[in-house]
Amino acid sequence: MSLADDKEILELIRSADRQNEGFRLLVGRYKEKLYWHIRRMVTEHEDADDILQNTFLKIIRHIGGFQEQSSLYTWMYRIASNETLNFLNAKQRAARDSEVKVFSMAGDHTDGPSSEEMLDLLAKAIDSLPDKQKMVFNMRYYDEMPYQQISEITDTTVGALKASYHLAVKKIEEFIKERA
Amino acid sequence: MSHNETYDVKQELESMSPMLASIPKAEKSNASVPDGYFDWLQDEIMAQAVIHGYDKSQLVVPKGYFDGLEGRILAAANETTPSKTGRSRVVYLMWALAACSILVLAAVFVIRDRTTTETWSGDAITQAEYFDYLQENVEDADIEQLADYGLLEDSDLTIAEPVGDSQTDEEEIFESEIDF
Repeated sequence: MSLADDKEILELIRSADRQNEGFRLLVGRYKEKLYWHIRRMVTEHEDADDILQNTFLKIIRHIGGFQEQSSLYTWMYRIASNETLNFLNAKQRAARDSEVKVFSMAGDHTDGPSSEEMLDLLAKAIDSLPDKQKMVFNMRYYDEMPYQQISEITDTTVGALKASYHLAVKKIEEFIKERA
Repeated sequence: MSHNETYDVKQELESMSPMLASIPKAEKSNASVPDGYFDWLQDEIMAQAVIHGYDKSQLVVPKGYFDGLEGRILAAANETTPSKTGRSRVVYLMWALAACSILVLAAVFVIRDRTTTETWSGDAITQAEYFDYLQENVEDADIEQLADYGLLEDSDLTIAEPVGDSQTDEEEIFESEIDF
């Protein structure tokens, strides 16, 4: 998504007669990116769908107040991140913890894990991270975002983000080594 | 995401954890999404936005409404602005209305006050009982009240000239007057 495209969308949204078209373009262009950003955090599709819809509704409701101090993409990511973290904070964690324990027992292989098992193991390792650290890891590892952009989304310094990502990588590595 | 950024992220990961860097990154995730989800998502979100009343485009503004709106407002304001003579007439009428209101309220208050007292007096105690009470507790009522209830004649309210060198104060006079 180029900056020109974002500007075009914003102009449409701010126009009196083509606002609907602008909203449709906005949702169409960002739906998948935001969906996967959320889905990697919450695992279940139904939860991701709820959060994504709430995210877009908030975006549509508040876009009039968007001051363009950051890019539209960053602003939307920030809303999605907050929605996701709020959801996770409200959700019971017990089910997730027990799931990790079950996996830990089942993953006792004599041979090395297959690539599919390795991916599954990686997903479990990421899931075991604290929510905010998981979000930072996902944005860096999957979305390959620059630290500066993650900093704007999470309102955290670049230095703290680098440290958080480094720590997350070490934890994941340890998790996989213990179970592989 | 730029090519350089992708390269930086890979290099960074290799330096941190060669093992994690060697795991092939899944295109998206091995998590599944219902068929056609992203196709109907857009419509779903737009429908939600309308239901929640977030879509301002549903509030129709007639075409060209905002064109020359300032001019129309100013013209209307000029038409309804009263002339200097008209304005002073309005001020006069307002004062007259206020004065009338005060007079009416005062009349209502006096009538109600009399009616209430008479009713209370008749219902609760007799005139004689009330008279006796005032005789014993004269400080509870003032001269006007006593006159209002017919307990004093106008002549009773006339202050007698001091006789000789006696320095009587108002209270003494009053006491002597009601002590028949």
